[in-house]
Amino acid sequence: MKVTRIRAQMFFLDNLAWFLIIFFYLMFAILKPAMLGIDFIIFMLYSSIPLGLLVLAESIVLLSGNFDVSIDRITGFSAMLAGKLITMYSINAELAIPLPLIFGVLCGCLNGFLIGYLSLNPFIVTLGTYMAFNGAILVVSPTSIWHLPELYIFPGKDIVTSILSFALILVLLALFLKYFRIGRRIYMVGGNPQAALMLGVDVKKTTFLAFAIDGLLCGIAALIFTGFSAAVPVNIATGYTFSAFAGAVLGGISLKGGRGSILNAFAGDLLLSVINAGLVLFAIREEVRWIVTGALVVSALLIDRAREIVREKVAKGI
Amino acid sequence: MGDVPLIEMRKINKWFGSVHALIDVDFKIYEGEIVGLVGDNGAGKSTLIKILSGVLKADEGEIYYKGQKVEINSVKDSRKLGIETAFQEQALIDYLSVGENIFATREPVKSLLKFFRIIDYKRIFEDTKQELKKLGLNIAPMKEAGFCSGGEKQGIIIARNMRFRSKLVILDEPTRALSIAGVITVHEYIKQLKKEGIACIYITHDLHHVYPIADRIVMLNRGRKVLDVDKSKVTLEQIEKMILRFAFGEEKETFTSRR
Repeated sequence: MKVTRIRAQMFFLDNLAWFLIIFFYLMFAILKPAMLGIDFIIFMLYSSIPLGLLVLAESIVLLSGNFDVSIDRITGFSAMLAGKLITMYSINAELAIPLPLIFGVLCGCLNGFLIGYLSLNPFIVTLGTYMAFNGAILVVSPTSIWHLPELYIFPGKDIVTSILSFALILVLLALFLKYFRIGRRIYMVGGNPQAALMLGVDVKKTTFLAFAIDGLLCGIAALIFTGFSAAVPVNIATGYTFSAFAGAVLGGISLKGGRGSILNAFAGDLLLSVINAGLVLFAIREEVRWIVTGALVVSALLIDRAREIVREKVAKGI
Repeated sequence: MGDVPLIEMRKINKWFGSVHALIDVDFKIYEGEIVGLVGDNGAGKSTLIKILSGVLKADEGEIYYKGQKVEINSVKDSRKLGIETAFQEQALIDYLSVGENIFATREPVKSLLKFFRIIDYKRIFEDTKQELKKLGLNIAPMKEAGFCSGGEKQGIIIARNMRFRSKLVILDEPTRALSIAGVITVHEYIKQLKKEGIACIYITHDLHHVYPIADRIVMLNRGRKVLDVDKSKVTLEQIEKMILRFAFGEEKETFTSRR
């Protein structure tokens, strides 16, 4: 009986984000019935996508047992560099679309090389690259970039394309992590790097790969962010790193690495969007929203800890 | 046991900078043999084993597998020869299922749309169930390894060794920080391996742990092999005396009994 109860607790905590989405959504909807409309739901989904991509990026890295605080700057730098090149050389939109993705991957590879192959501390490395990319954004262009080709901003601007591409990325990523041997290695390295090494996993390469995928997702996010505002603002994606981190952890990606489902990470993103939409709808001041975001980051840690405690109980109870 | 050793390491030398960590070390192990590798911290035990399991590369020396010269450049290479290193806490990945742990890095695949090769979970879980059954264990293949008891975990590792026909299992300090009951479980595990014809290198700094079950004791001291004896030819007291002599550095000669 007791075991069943603990298992129920574990299930609840693992899928907590989904329950909280329902809870907050209903709560807001009762107070503001406008939230019930299908248009509002679609808009909420759409506005969750830029952060959603960063949540996925952070999740991959957390699963591999690492950490990346530079993701919003990779996104900003990729968007800015691509935007600058496109306007400077009037590059065709068809050719331009892959640009931010390529820059994102390259930034991710830089982090991956320093952390995977040189075994440097992930927190300090990405803090360093955070600052470096932040500076590089201003070097590339100290002002916002406008007048981008229509097709280039289409993926992020068009609601249907945006949602469908995100859904596709989410499904592909989930399949990759579950059914492909390379994807599985990421879980092994994050779950127990020593064991992974002795099982013949190339830990360095796997870490590098996790950061490269992280960079790719940041690059896609750069394209979507650009489309979102039909421009590259100077402060593009600023401050998203910690929301992405909170979304991933709220969604059940373990801080210790190697555990969590990418679909639940998406739930974490959705939860943040519901809460944010509610705050906007109630016209809560921006500084208060910052406080709420901060509180969410900390509660994500608390929930992560609660999960650990319940799991220890299960491990001992059997 | 045949005449040709399963694994033979000849004249292994390893330097770390100016430190000569292994000096002309010869080491061999026969099929199904249990060798206790003893020595103080820094004697070179771990270095020797890391070379055998492909984590480190020797600067000089050769390795033979059943009389054939082989190159071990990575953990993958050593695993291809059937060498598994099973550190106590380092053998299983707790968050993955029992089945995935047994098949880790050797997952069976099936093709999807001709282009992709995806992991065949159905086969993993069916094979796992069968393999565990052979050991008389009834563990759900989809259960997370972290939720298994100590005995079950041992069973999972044995199942893995049997499924992939390991020839040699290396245990690095398996009894460090274990209770007496824990030591007994480890010894049961090693006996089971021997029964399956799997050889075992048991590394420890505590002679008393390995003496009861070892066939042979090999001792390293400051990078040199100083002792290599069949257990049947020497008593625990005699070995202890020798160890004391080496520890105080008076005796330079080595005591070896060749088979």
